[in-house]
Amino acid sequence: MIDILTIILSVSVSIADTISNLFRIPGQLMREILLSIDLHIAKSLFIIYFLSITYWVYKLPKSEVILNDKNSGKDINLRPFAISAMVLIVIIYLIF
Amino acid sequence: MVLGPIDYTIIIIYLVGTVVFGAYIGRKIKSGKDYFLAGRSLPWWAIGMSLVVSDIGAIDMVGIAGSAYLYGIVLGNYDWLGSVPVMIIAAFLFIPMFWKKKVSTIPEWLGARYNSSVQTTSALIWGIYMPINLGIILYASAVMLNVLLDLNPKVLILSDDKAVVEKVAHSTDTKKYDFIYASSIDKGIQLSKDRNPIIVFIDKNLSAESNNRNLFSGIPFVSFTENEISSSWGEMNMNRAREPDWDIFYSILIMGIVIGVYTFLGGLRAVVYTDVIQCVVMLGGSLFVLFFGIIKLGGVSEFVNIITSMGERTKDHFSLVLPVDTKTPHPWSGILFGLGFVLANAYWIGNQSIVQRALGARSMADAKASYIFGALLKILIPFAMVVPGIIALAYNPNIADADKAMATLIKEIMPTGLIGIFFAAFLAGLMSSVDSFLNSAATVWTTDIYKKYFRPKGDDAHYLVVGRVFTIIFILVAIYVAQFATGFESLYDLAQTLLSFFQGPSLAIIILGVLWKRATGTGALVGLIGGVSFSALLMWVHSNATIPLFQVSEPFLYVALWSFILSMMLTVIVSLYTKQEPEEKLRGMVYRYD
Repeated sequence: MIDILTIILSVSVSIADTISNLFRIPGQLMREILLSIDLHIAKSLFIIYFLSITYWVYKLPKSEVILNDKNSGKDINLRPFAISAMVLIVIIYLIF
Repeated sequence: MVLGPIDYTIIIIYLVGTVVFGAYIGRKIKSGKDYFLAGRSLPWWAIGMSLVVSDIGAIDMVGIAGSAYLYGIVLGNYDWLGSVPVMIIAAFLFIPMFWKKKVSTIPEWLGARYNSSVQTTSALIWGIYMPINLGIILYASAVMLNVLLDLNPKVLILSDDKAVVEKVAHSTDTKKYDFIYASSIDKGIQLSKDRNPIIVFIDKNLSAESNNRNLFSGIPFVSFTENEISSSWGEMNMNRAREPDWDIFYSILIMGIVIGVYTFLGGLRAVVYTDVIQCVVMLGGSLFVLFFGIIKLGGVSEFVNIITSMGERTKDHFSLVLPVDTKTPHPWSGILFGLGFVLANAYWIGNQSIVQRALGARSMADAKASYIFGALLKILIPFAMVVPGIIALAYNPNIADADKAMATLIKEIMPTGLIGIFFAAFLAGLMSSVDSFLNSAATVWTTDIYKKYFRPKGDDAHYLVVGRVFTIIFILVAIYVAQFATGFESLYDLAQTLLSFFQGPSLAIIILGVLWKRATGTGALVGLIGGVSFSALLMWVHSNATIPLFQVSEPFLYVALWSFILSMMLTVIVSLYTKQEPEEKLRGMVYRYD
């Protein structure tokens, strides 16, 4: 019984090691690529991501950002609020 | 932490007030729709505040400030990157798709977009995960309640050597006890009278009188020499301790009953409106600490000077973007790709307990506006939660347990009375995450399991009864599980592991379902099951391989990322080889395809 368990254990470790080695090669390559990226460029990626979302919100059609509030009967434009939030985030990332 | 009578009064008023408020709101509930979706009557401002406060759980309340104490402003990424952008995307892209279909749950939407198998698989995943997690977060909340109200059993350690004191403390289960120290017998006697410890550990080097048990008025007493202290020495001697005055089960019970009663009575409406109060109290209390903390330090520039003058230890404390090989757990690559692109989206778009609030919005405008209002509030959260952790560092750079940074700061700067308000704020945070899971678990089990398989044509009043029965069952299960959850850290890891198994794949099929009309039910099912299986495989390989697969001990972030990618690929490939869903089924389900 113990022998069978030992065999199962060693086989499962071997399988895990094989799969692990298989995944580790591309994983290590990706890690090295990421390590080579300068921190300023990394920060730029964050800012680009935020600006892309800001631009996307800016380009959304009016029908998706201006909505009628059933309670007040008035139209609400959500775009300025969304863009303000993103601009604040960009400023925060520029500061820190 | 020393609380005055006024602090306890504020806390009791807050707890009783929450229950009464929940009961008051519950008067209007007449149907399952009222209970699960607040009768689709929720305004944007209430949902927005509820979204924000539910995101901050028991562990976060203390853990964020503790991590900020150690690592600095980088913790702000979890709100500024991990919430704001994705909440804006969700507001315009995903939430309208869910809301206009008038569904109660995400699995129900998946059923409408794909097929019944996808709905059931997703419902079972959420339906099993949520009750397990409920017990864990209830226990975590009780632990935090004990820490905050100073209810944990005290262990008195007497030694004039700080290193020895630390060694003794770490030879016990540190989460269970609070440690008090004294460097002389006289001080120890006084401390034992003031704080009533359950046991006293005394260094034999301290005094020849150390064997005199009468000194400590009958409190159990163990003498030691430094050489005796093994890694489990303290815990082994805990069987000699007297019974603690306050058992953690009482905290679990109080939290469970308070949350259970108002959720049972008021459903989603009670959850959301109590969250509104909790948001005001929590944000107010935290911003109060920020304001008082900085004023007492001499202003913002003085605060920054103190931190930056600490040298190497704090060189990154004001940086949001840290190198890939940083010694902190927050490298920019993991933050941007893992948190920003997968986890944050999975949470704000695919997490039932979060999205359910927006599904209860009174109009499409309210549903969209709630997420944008939430995003604006989220900008404030790091100032309320993260910066106080850094302020605590400026006040006291030598706190041994970083998780106690916030509590120590409050003790130093807040006057009596205001401490009570702040603890009410903490309680608010604890309760908001438990009530969300409780209500959502009841909703999923009623809507996606009971209604679908046991009684599809019952009237709405019947589903209200069923929803309430599930609420009672889950809170009782949570109380039962929580009291046995002494191995808290491993249970928390289990909950995180389970979540990382399915949140990536769940997100993948939601994104493809909304954005790609070619995605099919078979493709989604294969993507979901394949992604979850792949997550399990990655975790298994990581745990069993001679050299672990990932370079971090808790690879939840990476598991979620890779299972998301694989799930996307599987769904796309299988969808391309299977027949497209009928056009009429896709209309209104896919973005800009009406």
